[in-house]
Formats: sequence, structure tokens, C-alpha cells
Amino acid sequence: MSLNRIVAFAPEPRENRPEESIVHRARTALMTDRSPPNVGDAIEVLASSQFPNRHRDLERVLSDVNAPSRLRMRAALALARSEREAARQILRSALDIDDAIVRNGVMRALGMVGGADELTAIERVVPSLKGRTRDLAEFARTLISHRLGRADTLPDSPLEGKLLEPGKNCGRRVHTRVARPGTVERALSSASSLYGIEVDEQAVVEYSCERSSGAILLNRDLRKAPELLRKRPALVGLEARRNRASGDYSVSYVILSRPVGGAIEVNVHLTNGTRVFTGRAEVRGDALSWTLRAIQRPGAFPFKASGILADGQLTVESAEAGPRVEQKLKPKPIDLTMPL
Amino acid sequence: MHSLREHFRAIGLGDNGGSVLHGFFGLGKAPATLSLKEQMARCRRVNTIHLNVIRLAFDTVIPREPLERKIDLAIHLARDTYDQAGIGVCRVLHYIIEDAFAGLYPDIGGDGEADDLCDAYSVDNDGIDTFIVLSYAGGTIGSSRSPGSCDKDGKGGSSGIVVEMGEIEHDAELDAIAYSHELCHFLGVPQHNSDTNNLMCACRNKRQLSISQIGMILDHCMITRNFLVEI
Repeated sequence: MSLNRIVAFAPEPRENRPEESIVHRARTALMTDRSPPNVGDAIEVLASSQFPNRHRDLERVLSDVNAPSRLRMRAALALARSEREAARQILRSALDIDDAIVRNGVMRALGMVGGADELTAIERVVPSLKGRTRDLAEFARTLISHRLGRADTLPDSPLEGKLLEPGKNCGRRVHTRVARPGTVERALSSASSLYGIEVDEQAVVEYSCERSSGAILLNRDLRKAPELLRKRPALVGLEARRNRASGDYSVSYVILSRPVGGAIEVNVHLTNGTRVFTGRAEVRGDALSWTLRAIQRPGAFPFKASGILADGQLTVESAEAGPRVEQKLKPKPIDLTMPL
Repeated sequence: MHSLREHFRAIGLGDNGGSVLHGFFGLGKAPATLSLKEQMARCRRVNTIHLNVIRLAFDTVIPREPLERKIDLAIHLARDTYDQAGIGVCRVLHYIIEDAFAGLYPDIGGDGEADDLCDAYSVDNDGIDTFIVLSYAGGTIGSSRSPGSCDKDGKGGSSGIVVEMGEIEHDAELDAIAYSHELCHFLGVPQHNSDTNNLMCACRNKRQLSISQIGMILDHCMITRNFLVEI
């Protein structure tokens, strides 16, 4: 889809450079020079390699108070893709970093890989946080609590908000099917983080709607649904969007559920924590029947989907999206003649 | 021969479109020697595109000057790149989403967040919305739906491109090429890694377009058919 950071880092085409030499150059760049050019790319190279102890190099960048904030943020995000236990420990100790941009990266990374100890550490710092960092910390808390199945540590249930549903006969159908061979492998290999779930490769569903297509990756634990979802919060799965230009997948939505009374509340969040769809699921015998609708926000379009989850297999019975009804926001014009 | 004032009016800048550099070229500072005659010729071409450059949280960046110069270079190289396709990059308007209103968009975590940014904001005109963010996580520098949607109020189809021009990342030329590359995706051209001189190859500093790619671009609905053409 885009100029790739790895290729950008290595001036010659990739096939002429074995990965080892690129990684070596990346490590050298990180150790000797924390400033431009291309050190951010070096972090990506290292993160996507299998180099042992790469978390040590990333930790060095993360904890370097003289490095630019967004470089340190990138190191935090890259840690979420390295050896999990070591990364957790480094990220936990980085919670005390007094730089909001770096902390934002640490919160995002902890949301992807954090466990019980990280949950406790986040709860300790949340009261002192403000603005975006606090929002990201709350989302990290939400993700970890769902992953661990802990209702006691969940933030308060979000307000439902106004829902947007397509009118009769004005919606466009979303087509779904069981994933084709190759789709599962591509989705799993190109998604940068799977948010700590083990994807059930037998239950991947492909979807397409006009120019959009992607895959829904379900947590293997759902084979035990509906009992599991009725008892505790769960990270149900991920939506990975397919890039038509490159064929790669990128995780766009995280699907979460929590028991509420006799029913199950389902929320779909963007990877930055914004809640975009919400709905309910009800137990019907050995299956769960679910519905989802779009939440009103700038630029949103109506969406309604319903289906069945049984034996770990997701069936979408109907899904349609309508024309955009919510006004987009307008950026502010600037005058280039004004001094910066 | 049309006057400069007529060119201003023809591309929607009216009589108060600003100076030649800021208004007609849409640049803060000239990244290279500019030719007014060539830019007027670009705007008289049959096929033109207009751009809206939307900065995210640039009000927090100190010093801001280097990033603004990166944007100038990106616009300049885009003009140069699309000249080979006979497409004039004509009107360029500038916008900002200030930090206080930008939410989490200045630091994009993935393609879904980038699409969401394009869904949440747009400029009411016939220009392509190009969002400049401060960081884009993961292995890519930017993103665009391919082909991008021409209906900014339409459902789903993303109506813009998102490119990182961070404080720390790459040299300015690579960012500028990424801008043209994503623009090309938006205009319907897929990745083309087999030709290492091609703009759509994930290669450094290459800006060629093939005949078939130019054909794809000309089919895109964001290409404005110009009525200022001199026969």
C-alpha cells in the first residue's frame, strides 16, 4: 500500500540484501545515532525481524530521554511485537515516563500484550493521567480485562449513545463467506498484533462491501461459547481490513463482549479505543444470536448486522450499511502568509 | 493568453486568492526555482487535480518550519511527477486540525484509524483531501484506499490519503515521494514492485509512471476536466 519502511531503510531492493544485514544496519543505527534519518525505520526493521534480544535495543531507545518523543513511542509499539514477557516488563517500568507522547505509545502497547501485572500497574497510574493518555490507559485496561476475563477490573460500561441504522431498502449488503485458502495465512502474517488472542483458523470469515474487504478473526476460546461469554468478559476477535493494493491485512477493530444481566453486550472499538459499533447477544440453546449497530459520531454511516455464533463458527445472517448521514467535521483553513 | 487573475478565478481562488507563491502555487516557500508560465500551463491542461493539505496537530510541533518545508517539497514533487502523465496539479489549499480538536488522529495506529480520519473530516470542494499526520505506526508511511472515493459524503469509501511527515522519520524527499505514491493509489493505481524505477514500487526515489498507470489515473473521477484549455 505504501512505501515500506524496510525498503526505505535499505536503499537497494530487498532481494539483494539478506535480512541479517538489514537488521545489523538497523541495530547499528539504533545504537550509534538516535536522530534522523531513518532511525524510525530501523526500529520497524528490528521489530519485524526474529533477532534475539531485540527488545534490549528497543528498550534503550524507549528509555533514552534525549531521543525524540515519537521515536520513543515507536519503540514502545515495536516492543509489543517482540518477546512477550520481556516486553511486558519493559513496558511496565516505562509507565513512569513523564512524556505524554511516549506514554501514549506505552499504553497502546500494553493494551496489545499486557497481563495481570500490567493491569495493576495501569490502575495505579490512571488517576494521575489526563486527556488522550488517560483515554488510551482506560482502553488498555479494557483490553486487558477482557483478555483476562476479569469483570472486577473493567471500567464502567460506556453510555450507549444514539444508534444509526440503515432505512428500509436504502442499505447496501455486506457479503460474507468462510475464508478462502491463503486468506488466513496472509491475515495472520501481515497483522502487526493479534492483541494476545489465539486466532481460530477454522473460523475466519471474509467480508466485502463495495470498496472495503477484510477478515474477521475469532478467538479460539469462543469454541466454548455461549457459556464463556455469559460468564465473563471476553476478547471475541478482531477485524482485519484488507489493503486492495498490497493484499496485506491490518487490524482495524477489536471486538469485545461482557455479560450484562441475562444478556451479553458486544462493543466494537477502533484500535485507538473509539467505540464504533455496539449491540447485544442472547443465548439460544447452544448458540448465540447477536446484533450490531453503528454509533452516532462525525462522518459515521448507518450499519446493522445480525447473525449466529455456534460452535466457534460465526454466521452473518444479514449485514448492510446505508449512505452517510452524519456530517463530517471541517478542518480550519490556514493562511501561508502568516508567520508560523 | 489568459491573465493570472483569470487563472486564479478559474481554479476557484477568486480575486483574493493570495500571492502568487502562497495562492497560485500553494507553497509556503519555494523548494526550487518555480516557473509561473509552467504552473499556468498546468492549470490549463485538460486533466487537472486539486489538493487540500490538512495538517494534524501541527500547532504542537516546535519548530514547525522543517515540516512545512517537507509539505512544500511534497507538493512540488507531486507536480513534477504528475506532469509526466499530462495531469496538472493545480490548486492547493491548506488546512489544519488543531491539536485540541484532533483527538488521537495525529498518531495513527493502523489503516483502520487512517480510514476513520478520512471518514471524520473533509473539505467541501473538488480537491483530494490529503491528511498529514505526525506518525503512522507499523511498516508503512501512509495509506490510501485504492481507488479512492470521489463522493466525500458517500458511505465507506475513503475520500482521502494519509501520509506521515514526522519530526524524526525520513529525509524530506522520501516523505515527498510517499505523498505522490499514496496519491497515485488514491487515483486507482495498484502497487507495482516489479519495476524498480516506478513510483508505485516500494523503492526509494523513483517516480516514473507507465502508460497503463497513466490510463488508470485518467479514468479516475477526481480528475477535473478543464475548461480553460487553449486550442
